[in-house]
Amino acid sequence: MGNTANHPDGTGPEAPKALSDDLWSLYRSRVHVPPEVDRAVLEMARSRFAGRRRSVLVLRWATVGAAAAALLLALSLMVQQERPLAPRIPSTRPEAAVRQDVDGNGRVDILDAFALARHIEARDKRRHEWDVNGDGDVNQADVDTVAMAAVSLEKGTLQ
Amino acid sequence: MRKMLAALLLCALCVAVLRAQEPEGRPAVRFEAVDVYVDSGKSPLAAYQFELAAEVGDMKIVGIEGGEHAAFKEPPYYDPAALMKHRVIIAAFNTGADLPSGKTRVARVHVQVTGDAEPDYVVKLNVAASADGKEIKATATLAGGTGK
Repeated sequence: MGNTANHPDGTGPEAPKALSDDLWSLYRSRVHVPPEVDRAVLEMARSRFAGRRRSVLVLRWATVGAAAAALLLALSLMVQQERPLAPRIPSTRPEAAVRQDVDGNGRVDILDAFALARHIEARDKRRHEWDVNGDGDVNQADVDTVAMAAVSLEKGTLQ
Repeated sequence: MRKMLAALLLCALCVAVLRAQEPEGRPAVRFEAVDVYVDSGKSPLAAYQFELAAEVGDMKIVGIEGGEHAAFKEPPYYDPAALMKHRVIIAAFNTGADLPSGKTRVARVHVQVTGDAEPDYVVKLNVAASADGKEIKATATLAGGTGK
């Protein structure tokens, strides 16, 4: 386009024939590719494309496999959610809170710790349920556990 | 020399601005002690549990100590999570025979108050008991809140 702008008649620049012939003979390709090299290049190209096709296939199957695994996981989670939770969560009262309610009035407060301390001081016959912290012994540590439960800001009082 | 003078002038200006922003009178942050009393009347007090909170004002609990009577001199039970919060449940008991009766200071709560608003402390006695572990009628009251 630039040439036509320079030559309003639209013919463009013409090189002299001698120069044109010289240039043609100078840059004319004289490279001879033997047929075996040609075949080798062709083989390499084929094997390369075959490998690429294999990796595309592997990727496709991996995607399908991942989708199937995700579906199975979602299904198993849904099934688990539909199961009753009874074995893991006590039905009404948490067991720890029941143990801390030493006087059995339905709430955990300092009077439970006081009652337990009095039982220990009086050397009353030890009851299994007084082992509030579950260390196999009934002592001051159990009293402290109950007292700390009574003053806990996040305590779940028994109603 | 000019740069030094300019820096000094800037510092003086900053100090003046900061001073102007401080409210006059009370400091922005102050510490108070709130005394909690339990009045068990004629019954000896062997155990108590109360809840203290500030419904108005920016208050944080920073420390808790025991009461005046020997039976409750030791620091009471409280949730350590209550420190730096505005609500606490405090409790104590004594299995001994030397117990207070009437009005007695059972605990002193140290608080940090921020701002001008005077905290509106509320105390609620959850339970009080005599030496035999029976619940008794009692009342809880507050005193203090004076600057410390």
